[in-house]
Amino acid sequence: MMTDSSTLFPGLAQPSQTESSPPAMIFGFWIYLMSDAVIFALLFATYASMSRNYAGGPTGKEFFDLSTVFYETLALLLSTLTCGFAMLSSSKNRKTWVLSWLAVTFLLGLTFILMEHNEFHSLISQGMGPDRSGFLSAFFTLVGTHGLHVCIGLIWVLVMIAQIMSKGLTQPVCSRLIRFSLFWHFLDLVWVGIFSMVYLIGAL
Amino acid sequence: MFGKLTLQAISYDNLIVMGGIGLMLVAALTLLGLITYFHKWIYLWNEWLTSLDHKKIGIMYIILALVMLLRGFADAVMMRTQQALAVDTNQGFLTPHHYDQIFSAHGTIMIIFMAMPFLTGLINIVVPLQLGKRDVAFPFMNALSLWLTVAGALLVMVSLAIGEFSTAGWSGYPPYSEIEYSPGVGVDYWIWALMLSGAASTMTGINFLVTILLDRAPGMTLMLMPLFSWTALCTSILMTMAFPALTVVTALLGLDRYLGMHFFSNGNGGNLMNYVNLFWIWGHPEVYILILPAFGIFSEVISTFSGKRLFGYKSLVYATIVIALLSFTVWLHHFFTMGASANVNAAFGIATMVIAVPTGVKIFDWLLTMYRGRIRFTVPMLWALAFLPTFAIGGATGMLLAVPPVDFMVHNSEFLVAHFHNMLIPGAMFGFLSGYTFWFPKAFGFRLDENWGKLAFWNWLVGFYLAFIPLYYLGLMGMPRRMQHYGNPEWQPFLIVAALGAFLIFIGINCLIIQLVVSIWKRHENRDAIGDPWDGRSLEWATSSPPPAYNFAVIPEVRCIDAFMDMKEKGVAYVRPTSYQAIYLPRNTGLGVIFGGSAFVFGFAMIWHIWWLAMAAGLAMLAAIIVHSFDDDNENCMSAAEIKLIEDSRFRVLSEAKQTQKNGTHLSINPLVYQE
Amino acid sequence: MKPISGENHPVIATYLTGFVLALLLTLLAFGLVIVGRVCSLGLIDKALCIFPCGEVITGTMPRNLIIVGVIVLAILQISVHLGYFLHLSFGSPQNWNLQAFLFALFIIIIMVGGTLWIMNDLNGHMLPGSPVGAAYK
Repeated sequence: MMTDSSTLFPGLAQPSQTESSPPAMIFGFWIYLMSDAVIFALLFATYASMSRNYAGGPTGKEFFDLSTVFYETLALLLSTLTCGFAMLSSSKNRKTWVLSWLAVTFLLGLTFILMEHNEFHSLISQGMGPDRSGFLSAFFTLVGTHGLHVCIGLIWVLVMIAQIMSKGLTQPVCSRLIRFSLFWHFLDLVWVGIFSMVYLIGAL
Repeated sequence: MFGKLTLQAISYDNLIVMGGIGLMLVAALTLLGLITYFHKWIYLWNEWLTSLDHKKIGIMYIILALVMLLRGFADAVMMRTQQALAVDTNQGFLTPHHYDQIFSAHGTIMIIFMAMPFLTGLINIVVPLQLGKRDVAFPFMNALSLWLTVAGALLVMVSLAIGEFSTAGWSGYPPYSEIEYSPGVGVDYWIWALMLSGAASTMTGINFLVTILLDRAPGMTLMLMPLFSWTALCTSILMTMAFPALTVVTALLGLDRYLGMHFFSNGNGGNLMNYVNLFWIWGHPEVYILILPAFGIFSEVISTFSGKRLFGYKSLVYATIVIALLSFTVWLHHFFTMGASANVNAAFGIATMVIAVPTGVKIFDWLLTMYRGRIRFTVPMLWALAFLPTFAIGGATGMLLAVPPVDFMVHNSEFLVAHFHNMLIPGAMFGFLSGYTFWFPKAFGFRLDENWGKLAFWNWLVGFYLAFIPLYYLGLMGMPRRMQHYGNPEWQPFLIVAALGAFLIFIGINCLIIQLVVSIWKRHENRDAIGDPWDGRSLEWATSSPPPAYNFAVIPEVRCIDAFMDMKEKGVAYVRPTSYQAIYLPRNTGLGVIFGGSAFVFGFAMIWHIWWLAMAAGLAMLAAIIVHSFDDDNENCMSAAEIKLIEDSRFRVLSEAKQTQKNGTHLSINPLVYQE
Repeated sequence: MKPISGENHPVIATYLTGFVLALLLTLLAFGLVIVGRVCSLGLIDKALCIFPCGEVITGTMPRNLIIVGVIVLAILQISVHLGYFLHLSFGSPQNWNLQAFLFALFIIIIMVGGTLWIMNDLNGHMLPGSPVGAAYK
């Protein structure tokens, strides 16, 4: 009982299903970002519910330095722009430009992390560390978790630079680059929440 | 050099612990010895440990689940025996410290390391087959999930030998779980085991969400998916959205313990109530993560063994979605007694009661599927039939608990213990055992022995009722949960009955082990030659048992619900295609095992404060990921000729089966293959 | 290589517009808070701080108003980031990215809203002298 297989099995004409096409990869990464957003949302909620648990320690108004925060914001916002430029260059297949923009992104991200490191370091050395009060625990954890993500992003940029140099702008490398850019833009989005909800409102 | 780790961490003086360790060591050494004796190390490494094949990963998940079931159940038997004995002057055979570790380990293991791997394993094996796919969306991430889960389970097992496990219960409430009150390593073992397996579950959720949503067999719209795939989809959504809460809450508790922060401490602005809140934001959806896949299994099993299409397929789908959504809105009912206002308690109480509506819809759909069906009382069907009334009893007690004033009376009593076991044993465990029996022939090519399966079923069922119905009475009599010793002799008869029930379940578990051995022994008698042992309805039965690495040589086209039944009825189920095409499959990699192994070392080093080792293991994990990211050539090509060879032998077996059928020997209960 | 939203390829103008909008919103938010701080410290003449609606701000009165303003600006800026950098659009059909985002947003609102509701309610029940309760009395 043989029948023409192409009408019975249109699947025969389909390309390999095992290969994760870029949209699946990117959609999967997007789902990860949503999952990560829940982590940040719960840290925000925890911070909000502990934002006045000073336990006799310092309040945010006493030590938040808005000018530092502003420069941090600027560094991160600029890096999100340069990351976007890297993406544009990659779609035009300009390898050198992609590398340069990624390098600039890395430096801006590094600037942000160093500024945050200085802020944390000076707070801890003044006895205002995360073990001082519930409020400071929540503050350090929320901001620190974002900082940790930025550090991972920095490692990722370096890996991407190495891959572009060794492999060129191949399809899998570009797919990874798109996911990196999503990650990086997402981190800037979270930072908007942090500087608004933590620093600006806390400084009032 | 070794942080807090000294030789004193091993409790030589505790006979029970040493016995347990001895047993574990003997079992492990025997296993390793056998592998070495039969020269199977290379086979094991090449064919299993490094495999990215979703079916093999699924099987490994279920092996983990069954091993952990033995451990978790050993804990249960010890608790039941202790409570049957320890009244008045009798202190039983367990010290309070040891007893506390046992109930903490029992809960953690049964939920995180038994039920979760079991359902993940079943989803892994079945969902890609049901959707007519060749693999999951992210095969490597699948392996990472598996090995992270194994690492977490290993941590719990190691805690038995080195140091101690948490005594803070499976939910680890502070301030007791804070460093001031639990200075030992027990809570740290608990935290890291949960962290590792939580990350694994998030990744599993992402993987199957993408697998199911983005790519299915041609023609299979979402509303034509088999119900098990639907429940797997909803469970994946819950995993990706709820597990972050577990990650957050265990991380915050860890920060309190490691860095002296004040999230949940008594003083310095800590607020332990937020722990309870965050924990149950994960904890309640988790219940549905466990139960929804079992609902899917019951749907498949009831439909198959009633010989009918599911009644109210759409209503079952919508009920699943509604349950998944509502599961995010009820978490406060786990802590009605914490002191929220009446309005807050009422809102969450009502939301809880609303969940009964879609669940009721499901129960009626299953009943109506059976109505006027030609029911075959196979082992999977027996589990499903027992589930329906048993789960309804559990649901009814849940409705009682959803009323805050009632909850105030029985909170933290044995009534609650009876209630959630009454939900999770029929609602999850019966489902997984049903699915295990149902899909075993698909994974291995032969059916499990029916008689031993029925014996296991009856022991489990009767044992369950004996073990848990008395606990309802005890709860109403005022017995709190988690008691190592009590002074009220009126409770003892009930606890003795409960211990008898646990003993029956013990016999049931032994029957399952014997069933497995007997089935392997008699595998030729129960062979599933054609790949469709139950007259199945969905696509997983369209391919051979066990399926080839590529699942389907040609992806079948789907026209309606119960796609394979439709193909059989139209006589196109076993048509040989004229030609084949090459297929690409993910290449094996050892990086998953390396990552999981490093994660285990990392967790262990963090628990014992061995910072240099933790750093090294963390770097190894990072390195594994980076190395993998550089590997773009990660697929093997299977040529059309190779596939033709495999498929030809399959069609030879099929025609032989057809011949035997014509000669009058009834080989299979699938009657439609042979219609000419 | 498709951008995540499917159809619309980002161009340089997309990123630049996004950047300028985000920068403006950032400046507005910081400006609002700095003005509010200055007013509450009473460093400058009250009449000088004039809220966009034309109302003259007096003393600590605008604190809540400024908080609302900062929150609104943050939501606007997050939308700008989503639209211009993450290319989330409401246009294309079968847009799983958008559906996943909306679902996550829904879950986040339930979780965060529920947490704040529950914790505030519980804190309100604490003894006035206790460390947790004191913060809210």
